[in-house]
Amino acid sequence: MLRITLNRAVSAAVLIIIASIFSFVIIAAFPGNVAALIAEMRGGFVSQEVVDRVAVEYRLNDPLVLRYFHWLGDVMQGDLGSSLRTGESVSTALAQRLQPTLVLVLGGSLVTLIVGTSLGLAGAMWPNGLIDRTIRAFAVFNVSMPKFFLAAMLIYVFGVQMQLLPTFGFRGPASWILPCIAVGAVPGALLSRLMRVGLEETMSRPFIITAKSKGFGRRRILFRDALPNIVPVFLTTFGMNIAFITQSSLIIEPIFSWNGVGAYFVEAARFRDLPVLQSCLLMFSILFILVNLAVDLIVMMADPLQRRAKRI
Amino acid sequence: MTRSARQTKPLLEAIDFSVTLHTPSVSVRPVDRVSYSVEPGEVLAIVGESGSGKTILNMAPLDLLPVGVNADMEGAVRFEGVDLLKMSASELEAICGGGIGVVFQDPLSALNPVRKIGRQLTEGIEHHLGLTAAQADSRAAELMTLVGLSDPRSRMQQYPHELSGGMRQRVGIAMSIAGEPRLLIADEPTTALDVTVQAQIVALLKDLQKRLGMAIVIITHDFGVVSGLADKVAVMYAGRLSEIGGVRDVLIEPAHPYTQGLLRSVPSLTVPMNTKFAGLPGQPPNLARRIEGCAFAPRCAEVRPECSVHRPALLSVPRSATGHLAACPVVINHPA
Repeated sequence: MLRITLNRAVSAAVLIIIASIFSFVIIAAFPGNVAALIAEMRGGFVSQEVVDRVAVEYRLNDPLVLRYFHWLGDVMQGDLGSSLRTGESVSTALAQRLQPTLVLVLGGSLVTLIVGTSLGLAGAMWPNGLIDRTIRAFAVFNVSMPKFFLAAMLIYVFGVQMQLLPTFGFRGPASWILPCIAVGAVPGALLSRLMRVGLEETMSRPFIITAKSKGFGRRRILFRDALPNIVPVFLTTFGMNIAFITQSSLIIEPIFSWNGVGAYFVEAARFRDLPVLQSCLLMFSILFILVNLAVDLIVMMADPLQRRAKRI
Repeated sequence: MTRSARQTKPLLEAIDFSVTLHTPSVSVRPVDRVSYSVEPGEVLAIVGESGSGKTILNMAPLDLLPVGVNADMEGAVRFEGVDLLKMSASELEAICGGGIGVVFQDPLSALNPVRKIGRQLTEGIEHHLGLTAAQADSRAAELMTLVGLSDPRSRMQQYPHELSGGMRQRVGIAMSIAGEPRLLIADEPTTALDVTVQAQIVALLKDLQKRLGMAIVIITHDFGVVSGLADKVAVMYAGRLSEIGGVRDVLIEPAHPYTQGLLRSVPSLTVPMNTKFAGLPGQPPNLARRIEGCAFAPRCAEVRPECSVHRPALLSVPRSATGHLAACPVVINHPA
């Protein structure tokens, strides 16, 4: 168990290093003359002389490897550079914008978990009943629907028509509801299908007949015998969906006018604010890797087959 | 049998019991008008080839067929006088694990892989005996000792994959007797095990049957198991009973040509090497078709013209013990 944990931690660290290389190289390989771009953003007359000075200032003439290690050194010290557009420190800006994004990712994950579990269980409890069929149709509809469309529908129905919930800005828990539903509904629908199908498959395995032979009814067997069997798969898929949710913040945050990391990233992309893009990419990658590491470890602890089989 | 002599009601009684299974493409009849009975404390072995309907015969009345199998049942299967086929789902749930315990063929797939053995044992005890968790725990430990598992308390913390095949089947047996059943249905409990372990499991079942005084219906195709355990044998062919009787009568003087063939095809260690293996020629019939006459007629060496006209009734075998019945006109009508 300890060995596997260490193993996973080491591979997560390696992945983070690879992610940092990618974050750096992708941005460094951005088309166009970066020095000229920077000079342009500073405004004023852009002469070759100015461009050359910027290139020296940003070490753009150094070999790529050297630039990477230099950047990495800064990042390790918490210095993510400064925004080309506003000149503010990227670390400070990110720290300020972290809260809405965390709320969105955690809240969205919670919605995913609730929707996935409850609908999946309801479908399995009454197979092919009205609820099951409704859920199936809903799941297909949900999966094939773009996130921004769902967000727009939510805003229209709950914000505009019913005037129930705020649709604009990051202003307290009530304003969190719609964005979290907007990011969590689609992965939730996917997970509910996974749970429904997984439960059905498990309910056809021989040990279910054993449970029946002990005199237990279907519902109890579903919860006590079938459910624990699909928890590892469910959690693993849930972990992967957190990445999907994180990625959704790019679309959902601007729609609801949230000043989070996702909106920051979109804004930076529009203005080619390279240090910001680089930092956001790195942040998202690290978040994704750490979440998956955590999920992996949780799954390992929840699954007796994994927990004990490799102990020897 | 002292009890059966006292004119008690049979514990289990099947009367003209038939099962038809429906799949989208075909309907098959794996159990065709079968009648037999089991007295309290008696051990009945049901033998037959694979696909002869042994398992369906026993599992269908308890609604323990695999998911997706649709079974139509006719006739009656009475347990302690009450017809299982007419029971509601909740009445049947009270019987399963309570009055009737079941042991399955493959102890690995029959145990839930992600639940501790202790929990899988205690849940049945709590459910049927109404004990508290702590009482059920100590009862489970007793049961595990009873089925020959050492160190029960730590075993209860283990998962099925951490045990050997024989130990898993012991757990399966412990689970099946957790509700203190009057009848144990054991569906080929030794087939998936090593030969040495098979003997241990048979000995265990015999021991439990004596100690707990329960009746056992054991489904098997192993005549070693039959002779070691059973009081009575029923031979099934193509969903029908071809012969039933006391274990000695059937094994030593088999009346039905099918039983004779089956016994001949048991490999023996006492015949000289290189002796040709005596199997049964031909194939069992297709159960999707209606069988006129005796189902065994096409493979029977003693077949007569009338055999393929009417299905032979199960009648007393002449010059044999009472209760020894066979469904064969050749045997029954044999001049005394």
